[in-house]
Amino acid sequence: MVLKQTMAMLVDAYRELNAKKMFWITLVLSALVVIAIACVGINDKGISVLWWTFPVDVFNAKIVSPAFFYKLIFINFGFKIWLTWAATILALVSTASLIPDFVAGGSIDLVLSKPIGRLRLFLTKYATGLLFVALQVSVFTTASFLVIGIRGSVWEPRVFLAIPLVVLFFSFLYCVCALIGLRTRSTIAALLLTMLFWFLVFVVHSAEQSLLMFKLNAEDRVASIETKAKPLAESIAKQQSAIQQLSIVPEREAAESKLERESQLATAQASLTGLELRQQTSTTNLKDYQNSERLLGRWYTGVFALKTILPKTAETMGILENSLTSLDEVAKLRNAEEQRREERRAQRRGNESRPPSRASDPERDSPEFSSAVAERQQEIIRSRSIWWILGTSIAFEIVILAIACTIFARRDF
Amino acid sequence: MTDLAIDLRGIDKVYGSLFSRRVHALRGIDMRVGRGEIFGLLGPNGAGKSTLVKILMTVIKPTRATGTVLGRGVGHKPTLGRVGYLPEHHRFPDYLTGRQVVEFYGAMGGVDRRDRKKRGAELLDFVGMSKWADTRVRGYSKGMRQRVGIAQTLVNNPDLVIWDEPTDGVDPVGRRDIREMTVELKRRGTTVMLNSHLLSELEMVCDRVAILVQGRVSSQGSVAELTIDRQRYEIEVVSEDSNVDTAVRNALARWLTPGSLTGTLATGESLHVQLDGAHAPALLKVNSAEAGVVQPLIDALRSARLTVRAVKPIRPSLEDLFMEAVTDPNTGRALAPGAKEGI
Repeated sequence: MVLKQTMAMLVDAYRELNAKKMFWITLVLSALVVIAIACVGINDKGISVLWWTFPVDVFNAKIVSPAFFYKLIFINFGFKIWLTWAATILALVSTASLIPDFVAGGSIDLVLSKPIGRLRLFLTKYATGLLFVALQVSVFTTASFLVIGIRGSVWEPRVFLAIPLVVLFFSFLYCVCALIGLRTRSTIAALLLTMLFWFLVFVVHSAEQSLLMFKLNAEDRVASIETKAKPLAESIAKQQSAIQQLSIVPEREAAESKLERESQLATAQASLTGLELRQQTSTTNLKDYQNSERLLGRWYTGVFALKTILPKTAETMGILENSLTSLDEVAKLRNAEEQRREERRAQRRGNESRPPSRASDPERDSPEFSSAVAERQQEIIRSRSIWWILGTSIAFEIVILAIACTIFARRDF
Repeated sequence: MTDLAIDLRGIDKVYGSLFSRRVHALRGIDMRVGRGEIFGLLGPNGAGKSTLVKILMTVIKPTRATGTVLGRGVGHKPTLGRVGYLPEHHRFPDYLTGRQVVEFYGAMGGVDRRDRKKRGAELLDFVGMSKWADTRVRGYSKGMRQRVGIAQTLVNNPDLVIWDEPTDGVDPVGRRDIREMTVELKRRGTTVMLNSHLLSELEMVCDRVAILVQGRVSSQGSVAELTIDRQRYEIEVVSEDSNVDTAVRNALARWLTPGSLTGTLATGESLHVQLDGAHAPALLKVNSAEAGVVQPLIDALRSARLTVRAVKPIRPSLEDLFMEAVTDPNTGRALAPGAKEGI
């Protein structure tokens, strides 16, 4: 009986989707996105669209292999933009009404009066809500697999990881939508509040990423100042010793020697003053950066704790990117970009021959420095385990579903 | 196996919580429905009829409930596979056709694919919807939806069907068809519980009824049982040549209380005389359903040369019973609709 009822609900869900225009509109748009990806290519000069070629220095077949190029296109446009944003919004619009319609008076009575437990009924209905995305992403991924295979000459089965990942990603939002739909019985409320929740998740994610960047920056600054503090102290000690030596007046000193000694002493004292000034500035900066580091650390811990509770939508989608692209390939592309940037900078310096501003901190503003921090940030993000990303997100979904199931099981309809 | 399809004892339902308005919708409902009978559940708006039916179908959770449905405790889910339910204001998915509606709810009731296909076609024919079976529900009229609704209640070949306002929005022809379906179900041995406001419809088909008023069963039994105490004979008399008033008083003097128009017969039944003037017909009301009881009265009237123009046995209708049940005996006015607030 369980199988019969589950099958009946799945078939009914399919019929419901089939009756919705939005399902077919989304499918057609998916097809257009795949066709658009297939129209883009890469050659030795740059990027080609149909029969036109656009020369790009850092993005050509000499630097990036066609296989990697198509994977990047699939990840960045097909996956990150189309599936993660556009198709998800369309899916939410299409499925937001499922639970409110299901629990509407006159409709829920008919199913509750059947020999099926409330818990199973609700969870099956919830699962059928994910069918929309599962079907859409399956079609899109299969088409993308073919495009990558035919145009990029690489048959990449890991592309199909997109199916469970997108369904999981959508389920993190849909559980909230289902809970609100059940509680309010309003499609509009379910849709708007889910969008708001998604925005909150996005804000928390962005805040965490930014705070991590600032925190790493401050840590690097502190480390850099601390590293330079020791040689500076040694230089000061050396200067002090030299001054001490020069301050000793010999018993019989020639006038010329005296003049020379006093001149050296004055130079040494000026140098010491400069070094002490640098040390003072350095100490003040160190304190500032240490304070910033502590403050940012506290903020980061708080935001990270909040993020741990919430579903990790961006990281969930990042799993596919990490799986499809190797660090070597990414580094190769990044090096090419860096090299190109360096060439441009050198060219600009040659043209302008302007001295760098004294107000700016050359080390702090140096591209090597920010690049190192960005790399460390990426390393930290990539080092987060799949179990942490998916485990905490699924735990969130389980808690939300448990609340929804409790409401559904106890409510009088 | 018990011979009762539904046996309810002390069903209570309180809506609301400690922090919200509390409404005591059902106050100790005791009700019994025999197997194979057609049972009518009636009552004014807000009396608790739909709440009671929803408790039986596990749509609403009772505050307190003891009793059985088809021999199993109230709320026993597997038993619902042997019950067919048509809720009031039902809403079928409008993207399904009539046939798909019947088959979907059949599958939810645990009916095999082959059986629900076969029975679906038979039932759509039974309710007169074969021609429209493959049209989407969104194109149906209210009456057509009601017919498909009835068909889906029967797809699992139930032992008990509960129909909440089955004739709601149905034209007279449709109502007659539904009445005939009800009788046919009874003939097949299915117990039918009807919840309706159309008292004349219920009176025509129901073996037994229960009247719910403000969350309580006001009366329960067959229409004949419920009206037996209220059945009476009415005798209309006229006089060709004398004063009716005086002649009737003289003829009935042995039974009437002196100076009054009421009295008691030798067998204990009450007698009430209504006089409207010397030449207008007089009306005698005897509180008995027995024809033998009124014979001495007729003899006495005829002996007094009065003409007996009509002798009518009067049986109250279900509507009379209903109106009596929903009327406040103290004020003589209809009780306020809805359940009582508070505990």
